[in-house]
Amino acid sequence: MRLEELSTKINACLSSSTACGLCRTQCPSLECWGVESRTPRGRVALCAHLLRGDLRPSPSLSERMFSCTLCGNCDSVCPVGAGPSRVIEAARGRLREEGFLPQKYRERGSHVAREHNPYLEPHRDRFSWLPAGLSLPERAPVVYFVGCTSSYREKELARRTVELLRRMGVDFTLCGDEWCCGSFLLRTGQGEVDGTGVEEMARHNLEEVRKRGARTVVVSCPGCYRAWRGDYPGLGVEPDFEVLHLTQLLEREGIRAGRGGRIRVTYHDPCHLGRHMGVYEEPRRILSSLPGVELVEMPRNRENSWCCGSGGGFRTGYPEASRLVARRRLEEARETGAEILVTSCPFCLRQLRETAEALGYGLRVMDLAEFLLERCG
Amino acid sequence: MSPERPGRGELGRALEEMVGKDNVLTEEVDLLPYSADHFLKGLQHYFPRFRFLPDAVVTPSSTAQVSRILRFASLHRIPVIPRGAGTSLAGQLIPVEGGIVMDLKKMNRIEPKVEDRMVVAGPGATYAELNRELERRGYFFPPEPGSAMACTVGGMVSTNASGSGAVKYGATRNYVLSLEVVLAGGEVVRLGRRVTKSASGYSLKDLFVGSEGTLGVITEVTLRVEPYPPLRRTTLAVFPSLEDAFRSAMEILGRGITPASLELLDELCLLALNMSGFSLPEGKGALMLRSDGRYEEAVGREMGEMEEVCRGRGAQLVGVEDEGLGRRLWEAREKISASLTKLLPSPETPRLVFQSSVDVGLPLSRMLEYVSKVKALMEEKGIMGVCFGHVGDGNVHIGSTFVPESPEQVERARSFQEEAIRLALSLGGTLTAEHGVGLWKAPYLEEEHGPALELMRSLKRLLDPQGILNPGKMALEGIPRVALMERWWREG
Repeated sequence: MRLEELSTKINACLSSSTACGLCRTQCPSLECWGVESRTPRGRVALCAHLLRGDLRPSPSLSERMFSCTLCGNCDSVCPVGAGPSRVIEAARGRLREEGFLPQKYRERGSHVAREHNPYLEPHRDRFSWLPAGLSLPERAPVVYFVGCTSSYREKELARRTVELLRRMGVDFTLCGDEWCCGSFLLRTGQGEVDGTGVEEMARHNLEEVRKRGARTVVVSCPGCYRAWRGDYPGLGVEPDFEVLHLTQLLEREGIRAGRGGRIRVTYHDPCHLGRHMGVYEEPRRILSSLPGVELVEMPRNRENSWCCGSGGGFRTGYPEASRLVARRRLEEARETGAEILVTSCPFCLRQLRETAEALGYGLRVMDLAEFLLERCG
Repeated sequence: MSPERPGRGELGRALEEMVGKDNVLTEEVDLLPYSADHFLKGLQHYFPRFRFLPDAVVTPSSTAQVSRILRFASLHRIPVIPRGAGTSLAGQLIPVEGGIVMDLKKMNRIEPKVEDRMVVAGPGATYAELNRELERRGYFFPPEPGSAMACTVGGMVSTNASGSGAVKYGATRNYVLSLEVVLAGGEVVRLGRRVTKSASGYSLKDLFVGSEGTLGVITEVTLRVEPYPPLRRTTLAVFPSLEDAFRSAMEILGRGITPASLELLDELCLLALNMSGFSLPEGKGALMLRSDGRYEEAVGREMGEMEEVCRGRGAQLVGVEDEGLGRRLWEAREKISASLTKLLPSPETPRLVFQSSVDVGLPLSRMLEYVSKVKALMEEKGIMGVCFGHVGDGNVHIGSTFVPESPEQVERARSFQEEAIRLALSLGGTLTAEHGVGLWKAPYLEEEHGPALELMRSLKRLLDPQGILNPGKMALEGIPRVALMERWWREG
């Protein structure tokens, strides 16, 4: 959405009855920098100045807009529904049009257009994670859409998801030519790059699924889930099959009673899955149903869940700050007394696991599929 | 002769030497969000000329750094505006003369000392964080302002903030035991002791409570805390008329009951609550009642008696047994102004709701007269507005709306607010019960205080002889032109 189209939202935020600062209370970037220009309220005010023309686009303005995880916690506390994260995302698009997209994102955006992933990896390696000897049918009722992060950076997660689907007896296959879902481009203000738009990418992926004759697409990445369910329809691409996150499919199919002793776990809501798409309860119901598993909540959960620090290009642009955000989350998890933090997102998994290891926290960070394989045999 | 005020670049470099590069902001993109507070954002949004950029923003993390900055600012006569979360409602934080905005967010230490029934906090600690820490230990800091989730302890002390809990528990002032303050010249003083009672000398800490950053920078606060009441019950009583709601409130207080909260809502406020997802009965007025305590029987009997009073005046009662639901209802109450924004007629030209414009305090016996007259004034001027407030402590909020594109409506709203403030003063009230004076109420301060305002000015001159601390506020140096909203609106 263009920034101009959000002027009503900006007005709502800045009208003198509001601009209340509630959004400050749950903002990861305020936690990192502690200054107003890096709060949702401050950024919306800057957008208003930009729209009025009394603030010129600049690298500094761009930097303030990109130093945000787009976690959307501000959206959930905003009493007027101004949706600051949408405004910030739109401002990124405007700044990109004006030539102020930070180099890191530009480079990765171009790579998506060429090689269909933002990780600067060759497209031909997309399925290099596939276990040797795995044979998948040409057509199947379910397609597992793997996503770039699991394909290139969290390959184990992709393998485990495949293993879990097999053990559950799900008749599935993969896309023959899977492309990036476009989430990276949408979140960094690059709806179209080098002539390739996210709409084209969406149509390509849609066609790939259709070719497999699937009635269901299952994704293990919440970023992909939001793209398929939240963003594609807005681009005029309406899937004529159901799109489920893995947690939803698992709950529907039913999980076999587990093994292992008593264990206390806590669940971290990925922003894209929870706050952005409203999937909160499925993973909790799965975990709670497992014998011996005690699910405990962190103080900030569901719509108020604290971000892991890797969303919205934040980890790419601000690695140090993103670790601070992750650390806050891990501290919260430790205080629950949980031995394991379970999540259901490759980004969150990577971010929280790496930070926990770097800090020497004795807290295991696991993806739900990994946890289930361990518990369910 | 004092050295000349340095330019922005030189100022930035000097501050960087004092607090480090990462704690100084001088770029326009960083300064702009500090040019307004909660109140001003909307006005600035519609009247772009109203733009007051600071020369620099500094984010100190220690008292020593604050002291160094003030010594420097004093030497160069540079204004310093201390700032918390920017939730102030009367223009307290606007850098009308530029200078240094001192964002105290990083001074957010919280040190509960519940064995002494107190807590020590940095000015940047938020009220919500403070109470989270205290509640884990069975205590709380009760004033509960509407901005409870975001506002800071320093800001609360600086404005003597309070809210719906004040009827039983009092305002921030009642809890301040001791303050560490950096004076204009950089001297660090401790006012008061960390004890719950003291009869030792002038209570200078009280001079700084509500001083809005005009006398010094508060760098540490010691607050008395209360045991957290384990039982909290809420009832909403919806009445056929606002007057019935009022008279019931007065009868409750007249019976000697001191509820934990006693809030008045008018018809539009009820609508706003329903917009927040509740299904409350329709009515012309309502009371939100809260009873709290340690003993079920006491809480139940107190609430029962209050409900009986309300039923006697034809109220429909909505009891909230579930604490989670009660919490949500109180949260919705705090967001009434925001919810009202959604009611406004055209999304393309959203009207401003001046929640903050009228925040008067009245003797309880004059409240009904006041509200009736204000409602009549609204009718007469054709103003859509709301009336609500903490009726238990005589605090009335009146919000009025206008379309900013219409000079006639702007002027009508301004004159209405002015009349509403003057009416409160004529009835023996105060022009602000909890939001403070800042810029916007400065023009009326003399009407309330008379010659005592000159005494305040003398104290200001004594403590801040160069006038560098938050200049332009509280009419201490006269009334700044910008505060004369009439002229500004016309020229805006």
